[in-house]
Amino acid sequence: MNNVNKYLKIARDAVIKPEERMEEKILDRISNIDEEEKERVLDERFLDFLNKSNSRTYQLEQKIRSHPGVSALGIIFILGIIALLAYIARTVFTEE
Amino acid sequence: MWSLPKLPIPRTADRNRILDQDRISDIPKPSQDRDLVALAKKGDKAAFEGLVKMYSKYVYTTAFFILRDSHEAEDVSQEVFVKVYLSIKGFRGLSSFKTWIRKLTVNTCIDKLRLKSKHKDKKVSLDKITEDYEVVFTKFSHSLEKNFFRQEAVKEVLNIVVNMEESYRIPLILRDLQDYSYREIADLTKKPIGTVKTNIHRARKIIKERLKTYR
Repeated sequence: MNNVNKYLKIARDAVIKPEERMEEKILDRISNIDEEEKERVLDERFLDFLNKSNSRTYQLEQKIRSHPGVSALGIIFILGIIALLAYIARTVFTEE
Repeated sequence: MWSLPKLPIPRTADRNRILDQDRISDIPKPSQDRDLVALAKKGDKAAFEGLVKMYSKYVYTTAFFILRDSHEAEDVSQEVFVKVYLSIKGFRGLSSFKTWIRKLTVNTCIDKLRLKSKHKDKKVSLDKITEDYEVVFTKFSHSLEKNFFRQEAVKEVLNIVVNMEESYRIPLILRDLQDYSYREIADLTKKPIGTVKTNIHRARKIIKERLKTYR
């Protein structure tokens, strides 16, 4: 399986050669956008995608969902620090 | 809601100069496009054309592997850049532009596949791809002979991937070629995460078995 993973990694740098003038066709299409196409393209799904890609909260939520183990460790670490600080503060005030 | 940019794009000398360049550049790095994105957001048309030049092959390749059809891949590529053009002013840069356009391409392809599956017999997706396509490598090592055999093996791997059925091909492409997490793939394909992991594992196994027979 190691070879397969290696080849797939190399494949990330491969591109498929498109037809000639693809870039020109893209620019031509952009030059000729009409209202109907704007409405079709800017549909609910795309606007939802835009809102999510521009939302820090959503991006953070996605990162936590994608890496639950790391996120849980992070939360435990932060709670540990808070507990330690609380313990130190309690000790200092008790001594006083 | 951000305001839409004015249209159309005039045929400038810069545009023609950019389009006349034949050299296939490396896969774009995030740092290279930062300036272009900043200018394009302000309405600089030459900068936007530079982004098209930089990312069109990348978008096309992603679409081709998912859709397995050059005409549909070209259509999706155009649609993706139309979407980018209409919305780039609102792009906040929370992720890199490359990541953003990659996700936009994948979403557009998945939408197209869903639309197709409603209208066509699902067995069509099991047919082997018949059209020719040319794979180009954008990074080269110094050892030419080793490079050649490795490139041939990679081309064969890609050929196997492209001819896989959709339930294996899409998750494998998203995971191993596009760096999606299992969770993201599950959300996108609306399949349980366990099914996604199983299908990816099976897809890799298929590649391994077919590579053995190829040699």
